[in-house]
Amino acid sequence: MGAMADPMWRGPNERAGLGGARGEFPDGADLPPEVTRRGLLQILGASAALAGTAGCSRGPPEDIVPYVNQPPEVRPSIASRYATTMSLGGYGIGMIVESHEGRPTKAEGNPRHPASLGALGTFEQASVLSLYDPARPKEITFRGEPATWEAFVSAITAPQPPGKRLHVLAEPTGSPHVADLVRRVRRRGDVVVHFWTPAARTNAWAGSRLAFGRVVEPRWDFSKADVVVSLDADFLAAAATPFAWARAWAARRRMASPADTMSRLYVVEPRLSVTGMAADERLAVQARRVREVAIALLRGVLALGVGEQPGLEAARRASASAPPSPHDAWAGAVARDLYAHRGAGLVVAGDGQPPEVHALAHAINEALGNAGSSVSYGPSPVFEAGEDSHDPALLLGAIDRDEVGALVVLGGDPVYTAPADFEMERRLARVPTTACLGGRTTRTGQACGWFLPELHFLEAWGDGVAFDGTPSIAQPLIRPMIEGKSAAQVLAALAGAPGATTRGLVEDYWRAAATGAFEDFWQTALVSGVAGPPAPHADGPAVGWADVARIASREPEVRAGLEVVYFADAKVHDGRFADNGWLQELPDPVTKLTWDNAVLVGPATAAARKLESSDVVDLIVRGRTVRAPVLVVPGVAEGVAAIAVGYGQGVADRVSYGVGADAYRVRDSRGLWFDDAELAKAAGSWPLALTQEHWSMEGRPIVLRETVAAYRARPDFARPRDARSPSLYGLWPAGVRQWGMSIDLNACTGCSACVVACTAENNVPVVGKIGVARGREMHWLRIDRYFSGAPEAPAVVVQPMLCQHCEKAPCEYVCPVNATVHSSEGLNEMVYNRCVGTRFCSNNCPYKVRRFNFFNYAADKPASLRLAMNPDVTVRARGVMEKCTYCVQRIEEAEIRARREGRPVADGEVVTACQATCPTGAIVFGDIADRSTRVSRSMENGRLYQVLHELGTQPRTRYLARVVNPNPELAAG
Amino acid sequence: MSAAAPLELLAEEETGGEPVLLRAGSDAELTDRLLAPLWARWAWFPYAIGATALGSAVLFAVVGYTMVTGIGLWGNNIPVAWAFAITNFVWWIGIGHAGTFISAILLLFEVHWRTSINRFAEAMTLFAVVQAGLFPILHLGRPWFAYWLIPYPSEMGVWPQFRSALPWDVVAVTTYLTVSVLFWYSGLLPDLAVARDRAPTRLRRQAYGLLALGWRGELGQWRQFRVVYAVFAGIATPLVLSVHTNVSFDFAIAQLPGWHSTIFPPYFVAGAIYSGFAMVLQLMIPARRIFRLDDVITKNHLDNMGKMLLVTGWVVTYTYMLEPFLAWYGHDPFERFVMLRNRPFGHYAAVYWLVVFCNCVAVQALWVRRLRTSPAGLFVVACIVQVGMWSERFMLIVTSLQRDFLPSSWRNYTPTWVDWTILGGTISFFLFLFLLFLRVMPFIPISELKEMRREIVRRRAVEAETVVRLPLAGRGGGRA
Repeated sequence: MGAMADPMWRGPNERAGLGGARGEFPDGADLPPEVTRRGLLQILGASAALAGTAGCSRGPPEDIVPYVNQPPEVRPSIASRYATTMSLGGYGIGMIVESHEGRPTKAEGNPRHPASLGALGTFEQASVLSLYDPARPKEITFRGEPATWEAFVSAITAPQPPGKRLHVLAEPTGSPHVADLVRRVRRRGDVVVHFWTPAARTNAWAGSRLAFGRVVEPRWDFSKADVVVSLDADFLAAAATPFAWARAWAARRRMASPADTMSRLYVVEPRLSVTGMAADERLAVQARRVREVAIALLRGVLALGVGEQPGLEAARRASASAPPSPHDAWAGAVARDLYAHRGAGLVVAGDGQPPEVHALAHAINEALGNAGSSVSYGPSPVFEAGEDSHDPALLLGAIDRDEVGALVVLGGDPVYTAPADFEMERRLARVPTTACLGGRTTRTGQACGWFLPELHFLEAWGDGVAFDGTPSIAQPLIRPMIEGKSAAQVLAALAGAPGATTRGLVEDYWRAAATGAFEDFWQTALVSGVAGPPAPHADGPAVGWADVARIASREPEVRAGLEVVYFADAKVHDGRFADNGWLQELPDPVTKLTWDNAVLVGPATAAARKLESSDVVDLIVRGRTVRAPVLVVPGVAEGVAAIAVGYGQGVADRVSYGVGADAYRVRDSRGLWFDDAELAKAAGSWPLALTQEHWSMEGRPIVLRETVAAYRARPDFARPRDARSPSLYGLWPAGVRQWGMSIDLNACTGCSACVVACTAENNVPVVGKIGVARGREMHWLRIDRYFSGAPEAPAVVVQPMLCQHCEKAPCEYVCPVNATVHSSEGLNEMVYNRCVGTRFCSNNCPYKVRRFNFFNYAADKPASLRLAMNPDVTVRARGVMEKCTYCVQRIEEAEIRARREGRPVADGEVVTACQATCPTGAIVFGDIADRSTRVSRSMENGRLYQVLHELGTQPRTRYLARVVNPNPELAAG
Repeated sequence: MSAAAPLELLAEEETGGEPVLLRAGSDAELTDRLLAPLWARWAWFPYAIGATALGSAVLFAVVGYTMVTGIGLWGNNIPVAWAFAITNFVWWIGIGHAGTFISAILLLFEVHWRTSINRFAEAMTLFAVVQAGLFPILHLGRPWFAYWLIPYPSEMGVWPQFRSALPWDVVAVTTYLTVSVLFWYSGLLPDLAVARDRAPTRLRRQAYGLLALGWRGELGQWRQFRVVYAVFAGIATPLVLSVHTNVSFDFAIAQLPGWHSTIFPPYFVAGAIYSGFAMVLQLMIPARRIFRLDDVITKNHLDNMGKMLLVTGWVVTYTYMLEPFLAWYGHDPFERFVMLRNRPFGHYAAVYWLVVFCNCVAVQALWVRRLRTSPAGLFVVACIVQVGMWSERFMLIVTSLQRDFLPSSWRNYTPTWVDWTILGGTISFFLFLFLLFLRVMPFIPISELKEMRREIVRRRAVEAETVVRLPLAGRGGGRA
């Protein structure tokens, strides 16, 4: 790194390349050199003479050309929407991006895309902000000095000396045209392409190979599952593409009427996940003991006598002979439940579990006859999934043997994310020529000779493939704001086409691959956001029972002692989103932690080791140590210390600088997801910024929760908390439409996608760690999360909390200046212009959903981030209160459109941002005056209730009580 | 200072104990004696005024910083959106109440011991209201729009929202300030005139002459003066009750557990007078010592003020007992939580118990007459009460906000250095104004004292006669 030593810089602007490189002040602000008396008089005279002409200024000397023929797609103040595709870990997800005068501002799901179905998660939505990150690298550099693309191409395509080859380390990709380019590059003969990402699905692929002898990916259909068992799989939020699964799962949880059936969700996991929060029955065990539970499940299922496949008897005997586990009783009950719902059950395994657990899950599904009904199999969308190219050992070995003449890292940050035992930085130094393509200034970028800025996916053409094989095109929404390249362009350069455009590469591939007329295909693909049918199911992969028997009979190693569990973070994923303010400030769905990661320990573990939240510990794994804060979270299994990766990145001048602790520093390739560990308490304290500090409902009826049996016995159990209380005062005069919202707590998983949607839609400012720690986060919509029951095995409920738009709003009558008023359509409106900031409204809001601009957050925003703002929503100044408006700008847009077309606003025409992105469709919005609307019908449910009903505020936002479906057998035991 | 007249007990107050005036002598002697500090050089004054001026400068610097940057400099958050600023506001405006109480209500009730201390107390009121008035403006998110709370016919066609207590606060406080200023200044006129007449230098004669507005002590002027002064007293009297009643509505109209209570108006008024009397004592006792005023501010005054503390202290204590009782009796789980759990045992339990000690326990020492008449003892108790009353407002505001309906939004409040500096700065600024007042104004009402002296002398004469005659008339059956 010597030659790459950081140049000195005077300030963040210079560092980020925003000018100011030469002097302390911007050009012209410095004193002119040697002002003489005569010179000064000249300037003064000229200034006086020119002052008069200021009024008739002709504008800047550059040529600017107005729209003479206005492009039809650019309509000032009217947003355009384009379908495109974002890929994460090789899995594509279709989205529709809103663009205002050429600026993409908001991403929403593409309802036609199978992975999205209209929903998007936190990463996909927040990635729009990353486009405008002022710290994005902007030019090609060689050893820190500006360089050209041509120089890079000639350097990298120079013939390798004998015995050496050019290696490419890319991220796993599903992109068909990139895959094609990889094949083309390989044809050169002297190029080796590897794939690596820290949160890869290699375990799942290996598990499939173990069970079926080949790599397939299960396509789970939760809508057909009566019983779902998750073996450490966070399929509702953190899986490759959770939205389709979450929607299907919620379909069986909705309970529109008591007669509906409801699925039952069992979760076995070491730490509390979003899926764990939604569980009906949850077993918290160490990650290494999940296999025990899986074996016990298999034993239980096979003992009930299913299936006649060859080898199954051996597996039955093998599993029966496995040593007993303390969780046998639990697993037995679950097995009986699975057996009772043969063909309508699902056992799913998480990516953090070893291949054996995946194989056991496949085996149980097959034994129960679930395969073919609730689960089918298909090829992985990831290119060469489970093949050798995904094995990093090959690259490391080649480097050690000095066979690597040049290494091109295409995306990702392996120096930072690779397991500590890879010693990536040292190995990189052995390679003569190194290059890195990155969208951010990464440690890898700093360690490589060449650095190429990577285009954001909204700046480049591309394509992707959904989990089920559905291809789609990624079209850019904005011309590149940097001198960047896409991974495909770099590969094309290696394949001999350095001048290729991103569009040309994508078009060329699809011109060859598409069936039928290309122009028709292309138009359809771009307009609909879907470029073809899903890949067909793989027909009947058969479980190799002999292998399963071997797995089941193997003595599970029972090690005592603490275990560290790594997981991809809900906010920064593997660290790639760590510079995104929206995501850093997003409260973790489970812990409600912002701007940090922490060692999560359960109450029992914490008590045994005398640890409290905010304590500092040294996490010691295989002799390596990282210092991190402690957060005590109920529901984390005893003996587990869970820590999210992706923090503590240590590259200065970025949002992520100084945020959290770097778990990669202790992560070892022999324990990628869990490992033996030790905790040593260190001195000091590490303040944590939590948005919810109190975790108990204090026995108050805030989230109503009932078992399904009790609900069936008394379907109207929540109704008393919805009755309108008598009042001396009449209501406001009602307009034609009356807006209202219902939120189904049965469907809500707490995944927090809606929070990001709201942030993006409503220009919600980011206040930073200190702001959150002081209790000043600005989220208009938050997800409350409460624990009840024993701290080791808590029951968890979540509740989206936003402005309730009370009929009798306590905020309205205390405002001294009429700044918060009631509209004829039932909205509680906030008049920012009129607000003087007494904050009385917030004091009197029982739901505490109002947010105050303690500083001038909007103005303090970096200029480029302002491009991500939604021009339809007022930017709030300092000293002004703000809150959820029910997306009044969307209401107005629909009303104006309807008025122009001379028709009433149709049901479903107004979709709030939170509603649009909700994967489970928990939020329904519409006109409650019309009995036929979806929201009105949802409010006929007996589970409907008002939060804090006793206060008589008569909220417009109402909730459907949560119904859980515990296993009576386990409850009795 | 005039030659010491022979000490003579001039009058026994109805309450017993020491008289309200210890020194006889002529009107002229009394005038000279009370004006003497005005002309004297105070060796300590430059230090005191310098220190408080510095403190005031810091206050204005920090206020400016807040205005420019935003109230994010304070510790306020959501849910605790009100904290130090409103605490300080309520505290200062409460302190102001004792001045008006002493000068107006006690005047109407013809309580003699108010005379020597009323100017003092009124000045204190004025300066306390000035401090208080800072906060409602400063605490706004956009203080430059504070005038929107004033009902004026604007081109926007929007009036203040009169269902809120806050526009009424503006009315109450501005009325209070206006009436207090006028009341105070009209009472000053005869004394400014006498200062003009006795001032040693020409400049001072001119200055006091201007301030005296042409007061010549004519009978007609005196007649009008009496009417005006009584009218102001009449106007000021309901204000004592109304201002703090309205301030209490800032909380009582909210539905927040711990705020939503009909007991607040009397509770606030009693608390206001409590802290106000404490502040009068805190200012009066050092002044009495420095200027050797023990002949005009006698132990009788101290005794009476001590009793007032005890009475208002008990009213406050009664409310403290009633609040948890009502919460328990009312069965509202939210209110029960705040009153029975959060305040005594929550995050700010120390503040709660400090309040109980300061406002309920410490003041019980004043049952002892020796302590009531001991300046040092009384001063200590007054200081304790002052701390207690500030803490009470803090507790009331913060513990209710910090633990309201949804536990998800519960959050504590920690003041920042800016919060503390502003609180300290207002104390400094208050003392600065008060020292200026002491320096340039006759701070013991001379004319009123002279009037009282004459009244007492006359009454003693009548009493002497009565005492002589009583045995004759009293024993021999009823007087006709």
